[in-house]
Amino acid sequence: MLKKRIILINVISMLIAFVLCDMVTILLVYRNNVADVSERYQRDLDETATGLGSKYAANGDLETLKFYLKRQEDYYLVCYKTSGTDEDYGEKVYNHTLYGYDFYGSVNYKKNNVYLRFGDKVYAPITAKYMDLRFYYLCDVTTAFNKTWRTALVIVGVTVTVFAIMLFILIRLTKRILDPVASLKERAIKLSEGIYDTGIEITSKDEIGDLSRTFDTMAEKIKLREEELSESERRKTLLMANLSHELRTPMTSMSGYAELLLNAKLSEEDRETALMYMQSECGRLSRLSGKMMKLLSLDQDQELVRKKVSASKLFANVCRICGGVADDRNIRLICSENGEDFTVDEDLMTEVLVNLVDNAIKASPEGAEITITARDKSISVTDKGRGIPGDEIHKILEPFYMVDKSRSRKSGGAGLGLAIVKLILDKHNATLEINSTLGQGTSMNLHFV
Amino acid sequence: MRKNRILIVEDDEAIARMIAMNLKVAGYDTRIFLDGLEAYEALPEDNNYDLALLDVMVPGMNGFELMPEVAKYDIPVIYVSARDDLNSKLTGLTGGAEDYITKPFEILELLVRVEKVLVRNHKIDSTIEVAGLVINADEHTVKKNGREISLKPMEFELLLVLVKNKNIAISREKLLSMVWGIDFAGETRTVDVHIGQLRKKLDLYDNIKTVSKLGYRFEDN
Repeated sequence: MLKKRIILINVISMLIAFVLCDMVTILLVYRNNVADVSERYQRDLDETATGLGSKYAANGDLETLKFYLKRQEDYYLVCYKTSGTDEDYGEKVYNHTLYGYDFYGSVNYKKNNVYLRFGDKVYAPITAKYMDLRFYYLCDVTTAFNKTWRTALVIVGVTVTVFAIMLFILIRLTKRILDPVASLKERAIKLSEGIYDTGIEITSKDEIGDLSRTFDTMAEKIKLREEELSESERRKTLLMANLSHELRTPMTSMSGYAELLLNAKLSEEDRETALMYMQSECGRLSRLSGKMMKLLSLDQDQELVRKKVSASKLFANVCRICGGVADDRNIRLICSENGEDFTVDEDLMTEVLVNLVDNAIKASPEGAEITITARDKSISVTDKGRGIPGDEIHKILEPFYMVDKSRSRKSGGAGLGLAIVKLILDKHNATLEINSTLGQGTSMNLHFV
Repeated sequence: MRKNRILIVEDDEAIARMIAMNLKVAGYDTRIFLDGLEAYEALPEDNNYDLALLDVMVPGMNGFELMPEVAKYDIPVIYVSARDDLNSKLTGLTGGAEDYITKPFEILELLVRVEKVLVRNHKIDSTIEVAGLVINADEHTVKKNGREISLKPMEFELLLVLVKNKNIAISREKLLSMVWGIDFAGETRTVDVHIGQLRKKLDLYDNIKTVSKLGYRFEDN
């Protein structure tokens, strides 16, 4: 489509340009040849006319004029005597043209570029006036005319050749420019079908090449985006699967106990055990749903309330919330700070630290120490607990992941704490660095930008 | 009569105790391990089990890994797992397990499956002694005080179901489907009539209890 249009437009403009050029050139050549010759003849004729005319005027005798005309022995000279007006050709005085051609009434001399052909000769008629005499002359411009004609032929020939070459180049060039567009189109189609790596490469260094490279970048970005989306989709599915598993387990035991209580004849002790487990499973479910709500509300675009909070305030919050649990297990929380400030959402950052300290407490043996340290742009929570196995460190941020499932469950974990921590830190553009040695302890470092 | 002993490896304490309690009510002995590795380490000394209920995802050593060790002692295995994907089921069953139950399960289903596996592996006595009755499941006979009492086939099946699930209340609908089959388009009245016959013929007025709104329960202390 575009290719045809471009070629057509170019051909038309080339044609116009060539035709105009040729016309101007040929006209110039003509002027240089034919016109020059006829002008020379014209001067001669003017002289002759003046010479003959003055002789005629001197004695007013037409016979003498004829005599002189004859003496000219010019076969191309014709003379008329007129009444003086231009419309009247007048009475023929002398016509001795080679072909006996009668000019009278046949040629409109006012028009330029009128040529007469006799055999292979070309004549340009010219005229001169002396009083009431009209002299006509056929000047032989055959050589000049033929020369002009030959030159014109050469010019047209050259033009046609150049035109053909240019057309060829034009088609090739258009093809070269537009073919990448076609392959770009092909790629776009493939892209729409989800094929990102088409193997079609455009390496030209022009705008099309630029476009193609932009296209490449776009395809890459789309691919990346899609991968991200499917990854997030996969995560969501995994989260849902994990969630339903986490819900099912307490449901199974609760409905099992309920069935027992309802249908079976149980001893008093067994009844109490069943009820106790039902209650604790209910607690587990409610904790789970609480954490889940937290995670979901964080996942949505909840706005942060960022304020300058001193490290001592944050640490005080953490000690207030975690102090009881730590005391129960005789664990000491040691906070160290030097008046650092952090621009964070206080509630959420407290939540982060509480989660980390809570994990540290769960991992620590009784009577251990946990240190919470603030430095320039980071906060770290360090315990001397059991540590995280190296191959599991990257998994612990995933929702529902628990390094030690049964222990975590027993201590009330749902496997969501660190997932919440990660989400909150992401919102703060903060990063979490985990250093852990199995059996020696873990250090969780928050780095703020 | 020897009680069947069942090994339970399940990391969720609530579920483990719940299963154990149900099995105890149904007349089985149980031992619970919350950790796969602990179960593995205890097996050489204590392997007198008739059946093992293994959770697949347990800490220490998972159910699939534990399976060959359990099989060494000729203990049939039923997996009880929250993993309900086909792959896990196939891995479990092709690995030699007798059955695969997914969580959440109905406890009655678990009991029935447990019993089926025990019967298939001849771990269960075909004679059941309960409440002064000697019931022989193979011969379809019931003796009370050494005297054989004739029962109609459906009465016998009903007695068997009640006795096997003793101390557990079973609804009339469930009894209908368990004894007469799911396709049986009868009324729950049928169950009442047969219960009446059993009570009369075997003098089980004290043992077969009507549980209001629920159904019947065979009680034996």
